[in-house]
Amino acid sequence: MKYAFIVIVLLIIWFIFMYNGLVRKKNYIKEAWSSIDVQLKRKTNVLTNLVDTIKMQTKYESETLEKIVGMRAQMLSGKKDEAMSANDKVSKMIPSIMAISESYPELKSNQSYLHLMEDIKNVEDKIAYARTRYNMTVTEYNTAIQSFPTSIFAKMLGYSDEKTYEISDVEREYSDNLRISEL
Amino acid sequence: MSEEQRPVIIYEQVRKNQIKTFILIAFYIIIIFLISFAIGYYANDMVLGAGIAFFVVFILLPIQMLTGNKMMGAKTHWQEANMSSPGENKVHHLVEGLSLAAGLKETPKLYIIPTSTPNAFAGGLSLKNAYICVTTGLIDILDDPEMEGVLAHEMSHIVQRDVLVSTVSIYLMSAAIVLGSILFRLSRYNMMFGGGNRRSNSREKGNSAAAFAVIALAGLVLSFVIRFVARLINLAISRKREYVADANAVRLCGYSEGIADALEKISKYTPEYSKQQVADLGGDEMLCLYIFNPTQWVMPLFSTHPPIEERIKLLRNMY
Repeated sequence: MKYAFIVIVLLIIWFIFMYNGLVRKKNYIKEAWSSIDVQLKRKTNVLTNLVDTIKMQTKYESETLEKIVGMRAQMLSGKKDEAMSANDKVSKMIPSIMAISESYPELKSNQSYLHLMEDIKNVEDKIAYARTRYNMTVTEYNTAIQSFPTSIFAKMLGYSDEKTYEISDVEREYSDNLRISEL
Repeated sequence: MSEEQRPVIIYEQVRKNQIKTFILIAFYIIIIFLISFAIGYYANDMVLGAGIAFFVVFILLPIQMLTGNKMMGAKTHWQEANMSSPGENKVHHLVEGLSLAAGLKETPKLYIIPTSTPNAFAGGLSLKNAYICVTTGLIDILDDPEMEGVLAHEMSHIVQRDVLVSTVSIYLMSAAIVLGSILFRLSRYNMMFGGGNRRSNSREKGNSAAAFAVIALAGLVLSFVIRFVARLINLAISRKREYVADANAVRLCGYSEGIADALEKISKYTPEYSKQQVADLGGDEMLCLYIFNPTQWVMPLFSTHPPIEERIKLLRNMY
């Protein structure tokens, strides 16, 4: 009887620790996402300015520019999947924006254009870092809820796997190129 | 595999580390109190002993902690990073990015030490006033991924509050050593003069002299043991934290070659330091804070940093 009581108390203590651990890990993810979100906002601002600058300087109109502007709402939607896929699409379009300056030399001497390109590079790096952190928190959380015996209770308490947003090889290569081409 | 060789999980580990940090500092404070009381016992004045302990822990320690930063600044002649210099600006951007990856709310400040010896360290007792210090030599010889690795290592020291631990433990350790030697002197004095005025009204003088000799000897041995243990603990903590910081650096950058190459470059560039180089970096006692400490000890047990080759090997095997 006495032992049964001790065992039950220990189980309750374990449960409290496990539950609090899950709550904490879930919150780490939330926090990490918010830092991605902040960087996405910055990115849309920079991109909007960049598109405006290019249009003003070159009177150049293109689908790409319109598409980038069109992606804004998705990137700021706050929905993880939508925002991240919009972000990836936009990132892939950036090289073609950079290519515009090849045919418009006046852009290359435009201070605000150069500044904005610098900012883009900067914000892309930051998103990559924020993403690293996000993925780390998700991995930690997923490991926790998949490990026995937490796995039994995690499901019952409504804790399910979260998705990581790995940086694709294409994008990594692109962002490396962005680094090398000293803008 | 021992614990420090495994790549670590940053966030939960930080939490556990904070608990350990607290225990460690409490342990040091207990040692200080014990020695102080021992001094009080020898001096036949327990109030004095308690006074010494309180003075060391509650007055000198806070003063030391508040002025430590300024002293380091004065010793190393660091300057805040100049954003118009492209090299320093780039380092600043990396620090900003890495503090995002590490989940810091505020970006640590960046200081530059004007010396050609490549090295770096992190400082600041809280996350709010944390800073990273790199030498101009480091900026000159490292490329971006390598610099990122070094900065990530320092970032890990900041996140893990290693700076607080090393500052407090170095201070408390030196206090323990000073008090230990006072204890040693006192015990020797007691041995020579049969305890001085202590229990001079004792009825059995012969016996008490013998007893004092024993106590004095014990005090002598104790003070040596304390010094030795304090040093060993400090070194062990420091070594372990270096491994952890290396592992965390890899996690933060998602790339192990950066920090491995950087360590290789730094250690090959200056395998040994001249007196001048040590002085430029802020003197001997500051060397243990840097990412690379070339001071060689005969026994690995006594070094603050694991052997650099060992660290590089571990890093290369990590992913």
